[in-house]
Amino acid sequence: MNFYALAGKVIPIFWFLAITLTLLGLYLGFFTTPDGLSSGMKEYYRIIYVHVASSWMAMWLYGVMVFWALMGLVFNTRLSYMMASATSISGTIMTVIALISGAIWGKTSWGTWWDWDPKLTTFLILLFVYIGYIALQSAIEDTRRSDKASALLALVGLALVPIIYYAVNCPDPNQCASLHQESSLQKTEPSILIAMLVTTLGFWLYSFATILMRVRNIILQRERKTTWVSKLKETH
Amino acid sequence: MVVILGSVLGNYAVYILGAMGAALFLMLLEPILLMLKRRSILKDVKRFIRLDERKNRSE
Repeated sequence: MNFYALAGKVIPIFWFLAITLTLLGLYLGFFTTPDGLSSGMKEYYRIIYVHVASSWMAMWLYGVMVFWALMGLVFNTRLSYMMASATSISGTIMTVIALISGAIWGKTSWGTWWDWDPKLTTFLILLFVYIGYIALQSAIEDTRRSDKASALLALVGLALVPIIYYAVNCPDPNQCASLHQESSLQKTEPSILIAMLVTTLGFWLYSFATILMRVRNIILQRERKTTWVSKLKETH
Repeated sequence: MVVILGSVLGNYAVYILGAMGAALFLMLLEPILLMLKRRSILKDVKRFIRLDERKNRSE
């Protein structure tokens, strides 16, 4: 069985798991975690389930995209470039979700939608790198050249991921004064942490499903003149 | 459902549901656009196959 067919078979499984886990995570987040008054937190902390999951995914997907870009550059495999290309759009969407949910959270807790501090700014730059990757790929008509050029851009942008991580987990608050709170996973209440992890797993599987859907589209588009595509059931 | 969510979320319901809604909207939009794109690519592939068959027959 080739990759195209295998991806077609696993996509419905990923969709089922993604929807189930995301809904379960949100249910746990809304109905089994402490309410704002009893825990001393304001109710808006519940945005955490979407914000943290999408922020993690945005950074993680960047790593995945770079991995595939690197595979493409080293082994010169077309599928690797296609995977990198498919991952970039899912990563962009996750970054946009993280920025929107973060802005809404910021409005409730800081009273402002945006603050130009290192944490938020580096994340905005991550969005620009994703957009740059997509733009560069669309700008060059020859797919081989566009794949290579955008893979190089992805590798250069990899330097951003540890910077974002450092900005959020900054050991010295004087160095990176920010409205954004420090990462506090160890201090998080177990019920909140479980709901957050379940939602993240749902987002993870969602990304798998959409990346596989997109890569199948890219394969069809690039291989449309080949005999194996003309023999596919869906092309008749 | 709205009443239950309202009582759970309190005064910040608009913000919380706004953040969740924006995320779910984007996450729903993406697969819909992917399916539409797939339909358009398949249409293109079918057209190409038909043209190819016609060319072969005429030769």
